[in-house]
Formats: sequence, structure tokens, C-alpha cells
Amino acid sequence: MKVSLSDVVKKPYWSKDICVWIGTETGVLKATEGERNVSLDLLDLFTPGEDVPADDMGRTQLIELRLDSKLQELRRDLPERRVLILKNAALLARYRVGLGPIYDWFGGDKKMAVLVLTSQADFRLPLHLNRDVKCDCEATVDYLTSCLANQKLVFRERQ
Amino acid sequence: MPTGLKELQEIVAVKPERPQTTPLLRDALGKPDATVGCYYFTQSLTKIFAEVFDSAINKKGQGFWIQAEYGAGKTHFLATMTLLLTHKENGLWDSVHDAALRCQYRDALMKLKLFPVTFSLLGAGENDAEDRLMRQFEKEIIKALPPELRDKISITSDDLAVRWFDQEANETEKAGLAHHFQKAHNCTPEEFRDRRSRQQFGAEIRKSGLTIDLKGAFRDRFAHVYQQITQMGGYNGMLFVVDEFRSWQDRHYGRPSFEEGCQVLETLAYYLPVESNMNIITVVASQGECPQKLLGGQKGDRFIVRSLLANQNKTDYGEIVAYRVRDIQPNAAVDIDEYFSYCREQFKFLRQSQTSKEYFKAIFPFQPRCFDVIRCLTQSFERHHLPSARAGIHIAYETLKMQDILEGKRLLVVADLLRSEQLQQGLTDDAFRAGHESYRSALEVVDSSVAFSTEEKDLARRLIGTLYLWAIAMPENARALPLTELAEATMTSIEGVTPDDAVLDLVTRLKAEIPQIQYDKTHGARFDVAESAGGLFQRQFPALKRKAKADTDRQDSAWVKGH
Repeated sequence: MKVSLSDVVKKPYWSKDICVWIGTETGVLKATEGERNVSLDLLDLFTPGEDVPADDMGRTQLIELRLDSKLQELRRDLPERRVLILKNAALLARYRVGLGPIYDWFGGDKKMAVLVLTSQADFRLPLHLNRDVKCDCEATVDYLTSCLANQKLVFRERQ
Repeated sequence: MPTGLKELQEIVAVKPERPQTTPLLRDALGKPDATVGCYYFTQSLTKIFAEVFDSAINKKGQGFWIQAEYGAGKTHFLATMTLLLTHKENGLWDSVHDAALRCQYRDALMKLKLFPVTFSLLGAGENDAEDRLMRQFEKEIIKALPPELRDKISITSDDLAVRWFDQEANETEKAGLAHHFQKAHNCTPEEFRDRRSRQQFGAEIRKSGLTIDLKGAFRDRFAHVYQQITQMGGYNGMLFVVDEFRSWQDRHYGRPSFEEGCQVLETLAYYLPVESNMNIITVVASQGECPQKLLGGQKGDRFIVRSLLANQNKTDYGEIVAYRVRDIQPNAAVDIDEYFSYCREQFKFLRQSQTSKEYFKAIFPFQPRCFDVIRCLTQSFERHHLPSARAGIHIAYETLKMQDILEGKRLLVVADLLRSEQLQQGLTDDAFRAGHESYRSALEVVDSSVAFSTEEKDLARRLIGTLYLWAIAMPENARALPLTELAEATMTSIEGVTPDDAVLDLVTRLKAEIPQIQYDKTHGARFDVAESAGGLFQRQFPALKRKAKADTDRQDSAWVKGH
């Protein structure tokens, strides 16, 4: 039987349960219903207009550093059972940030995390670009999946 | 029920809080007392700790490969090991409950100053240059550096390029570099450095094409890092602790990066300690096997492989689980002795060599068979979606918290475990659903039967539960349980009747009513899950019919309702 996100959320004790959700935020809230959650938008790790490094490597390091420190803080402030809903998770794939900080702080018995990705399945390139540009709509999902300890924990919202 | 024994609650105190079973490495390192305090050193674990400690104290670097299944305690092991090797607060050793280990190593290790680099490889992305093992080590060494050393020590190629520019480049080379920066960025190297990070500056120097000694070989690079850290930081060695190596192994297996990773580990565990006499201790924990190339049979020979919860250390599991879920009340040792004497008199299992008095005490108040069953169930975790080894702690904890059990005067038995929420949830998985329904229907027969007294019903439930769990714990080769073993596994005790006779009587009667229960004199009793998986209606109907026939009030009301 295929396990659903709700099944994972309902487990009495979690263990390295970091999941990817491809769908809407409403969908993920429904799937985690009944369990206390905490939301974190990756974009909120930065203030608008903030001077960030110009190169990708610098940005990767900065995201990883801020994410690590924010998750550590959340873990300390919320000792009880909690699901972390991480919005705009595609940013992690864009800058090749690993999920180490998420496993480090939200991989235990009382913590799990859901990385939310908006579905790109319906995206179509404009016809005039088709010959020159190739769009890999699954690249983001593939990257995040490759980072998971359990690659079965990828769930797509039913339309 | 033996009246001379004390109630369990007078002897054991269940831990006030549910034990944590998935420690996170960084979190565990941040809570030294809690991490070390709840670590149980079994005899076999103590040996591994001693081996690593000896290497560290004798300043003989060595690699250790810690292999264990998912949930077997690798992270807790690594965190405890790191803390005891590197934490300098004297009080921490007071939390080590193994007195011999404490006495032998505390003072010697307190004098040692190892530089710890501890990290998990879980969560890194694949096909990424950053995921190369060498890069991971570099990143983690940088993170581990104390602030006062960060700018003084060069770790990466970019760092080394900057260091070369600052300390070694001659005038001609600097002129060449100035030309490169002017051409590429229309500025001087100094202007570029002011605007960009140290890392970017180093990367740009490397692009210039000048010959710079970047210590590109792993051996040269690590040796360079080791020299700097030990000399500038006053350390007398380095400790590398790597968790979740399997996740990296899986991502790279069969690729050139895998071979490269093996070379990195070989350098740390063999070339530098053995050929360059550097005190580098490397401890790698993995669910996977040690790559052939890294295997070493003895000290000084690459990685020494040690397993946690290995089959040859069968008593470890029960001892660890019991330690994590309960405390023994002060001065209760004598009460446990009484239980031991009672059980020894009544049953045979304590006369067998594998159940020593020490083991009985270490796992009290659990009947040893409990851990045989939990271990089998959790070992089939991947195969049957059952909870992993760590779940045994939850199962034991939830069972021991039952008030009626604590008020009782018998050891916890296999069937009691079925009251655990964790186990119940595991057994409702598809792989077990039919068998679990079959078990429940067997219980319904007993509950609705008028042929059993209350005391007999209680015992019958224990018998059925034991046989059922025994059957599913070893689905391929579950043997029947002889009556003596069954009597012991259920702690059957009825006044005036020997345990074997009491079980024989009950099993014979159960067999007549419940097709799942099978018994023959030669082999013993067993629960036949396959036999009973189908025909649920046929099995359940007789019990329901009997129940309905006995309920005259409802029969009468049904007649009245009909009119």
C-alpha cells in the first residue's frame, strides 16, 4: 500500500521523516490536519533589499547558514511535537542547498518537515521557444528527492 | 499469584518522560549530561569504547567502522563517544554508569585535547561537486574551527591560494597576477579582494594559471590541516566522526567519486596515522558494510569494523531497552533477587546458561522472551514495514506504563507487549492485517465464552498473544512452542497445578474452539496465521452465535420490536 503524507504525519513517533509535497499549501495543511505545525517561508530568511552575495556559492552558504540558525531556534522554542512546513522550498534546489540543517534539527522523534513545492506539471514553454530551450519541470523535485534519506517520502497532491 | 513478592511499582519506576529514540547528532552534542547519562554501556559496547579510547590515549590514530541497522543506536553511540573524548568538564564522566570504564579512562582522556570534527552526511544533494567527500570534510573542518583560528588556518584550495598570495608569491608572480585581474575584472587584486569574499579572491587567483602549491593530494592537504590545527590550537590530535555514511555511499556507489571518497577515508585512517604518525581517530557509522578496500583486520590496518546490536551480543538489546524505560528503586536489589529465586524455582529458563542473574536484573521486570520477540519483529523492519529497532524502547515503555501491570506481581510477558500503541499500529499494516484480525477474532472467542473462568480468560489471552507474536516474529521459520516454553513465556502460575499442566489444559480447550491455535504433543502449540487468514466469517460466526444465544434480554427485546 502506498503511504500518504497523512500516514506519515499520524505516526506516533517520527524518525528522519523529511517529506516533499508537490501541490498547494492548502493541500499540505489538510494533509497535516490535527497536528500542530509551524510554517517557515525561506524567503523570510532575508529582508527585502538586503545586500546578498552576488555569486551562487556565496548565496548557497548564506541560505544554509540562515536556515540552520532559524531551525535551531525553532527547535529550541518549540520543544513539543511539531510539523515544519517549509515554503518556497524550490529555493533550496536553485542554490543546491542540502537538507542537512533540516535533518539536523527536525529529523527527531517529535519533529518532522514537509518541503512544499508548487506543481510545475502544467507549465508549457511558449511555442516559439520550444526549439531552443528545454524545460525540465522535474529538476527541482529530482534534486530535493535526491537529498532525502527516504526517497519514498515524496507526495503529489491529487487534483 | 505469588504473594511473597512485591508489586512491580515498588521495585521499578517508569521513566517520567518518554525516552527519546531518534537523537540528532548536533542536538545530542549540545546536551552532554543528558546524552551520556542515558547511554547504556553493555559489555560489548564498553569493549568498543575502550578500543577507541586506547587508540586516542596512546596517540595511535586509527579508523573505526561502526556498522548497524537502522535505528540501532549509531547516532547516540557517536555522540557519547565524541563527548567522552573531547568534553573537558569533569562532571560529565560522573554520568557514565559503567564504573570500570569511568575509572580506567576518565583521567587519561581528560589530559587529551583532540580537535573534534563531527557531522552527518544525511541530506546532501547528489551529482553535486559540493557533495564530494573531500569537500564535505573541508566544510566541516571549517565549521568546527573555533573563531580565533578561523582566519589563521587555510583549509580549502581557495584558502591556500590566498595564503600563497599573502606569504609566498614573489614580485614577478604578483605582477602576473595583477595583469590577470586587470584583464579579467579591470581592477587590482587588492580592489577585487576588498569587494569580494576571501573565497572568491582565492578562486580568482587559481584561475590565473600560475603554479601554486595547493596541496592537491588528499594526504598533503590533510597533513597540512593537521599541522596547522595541532600547532596553532594546541591540540594533540584530531577526531573525525561521520554519521550516516550510508546515505553518501548510496549516492556515489559505482561512480569515480566513490573511489575518491574511499581514498579520503584511507588517508585519514591509514596513511596519516600509520605512515606519518599523526594522531587522527576516524569513526564512521553506517548502515552499510565497510568497502573492501578500507577493511582492516587489526590495529594500524585501515578501518576496524565493529557492529552494534550484533547477533553475537544478543543480550545487548534487552539491557539497553530496559535501561532506557525504567529506573530501579533504591534498595530494591533484594526484591529483584526474590523474583529471581521465585522464577528459578518455578521455571526452567533461568537455569539455562543464557539467562544469568545479571541479565535477569538488567532487564527486570521483563521476561527475557519479550526481547527475543521484539528483536525479531524490529529486525524485519524493512521487509514488513514494522517499527525499527529503536521502536522497542517505545513498545517496552508503553507496556510498562500500564497501571495494572505495575500493580502486578509477575514479570512482563510477550503478550503484554500487544497493549503497546506503537506495536498495535505496526500490526495494522497491510502485511499483518489479516493475521491481526485473526488474532483479534481468537480473543473474541475467549471473551465471549462461558467455558473459561476470569482467571483462565486472562491466561488464555496471554497464551494466544504469545503464540500470535511468536508466529509473526518469525514468519518463515516459526516453530511450535513446547508447553514448558509456553508456560515460561506467559509466566503461567495457578495454585496447585504445575505451569505445564495448566497450559496443557488451556491449550487443549482453546484448540477445540479456535482453529488458529494448533497443538500436538510432539512439537507443542502454535498460532497458524495462514490457516486462519481466510474464512473470517466462518470463524467468527460461532462465537457471535453463542453470544447472541446467551443474551436472552436482547432476544426478548428483539421479539417485542418485531411486533
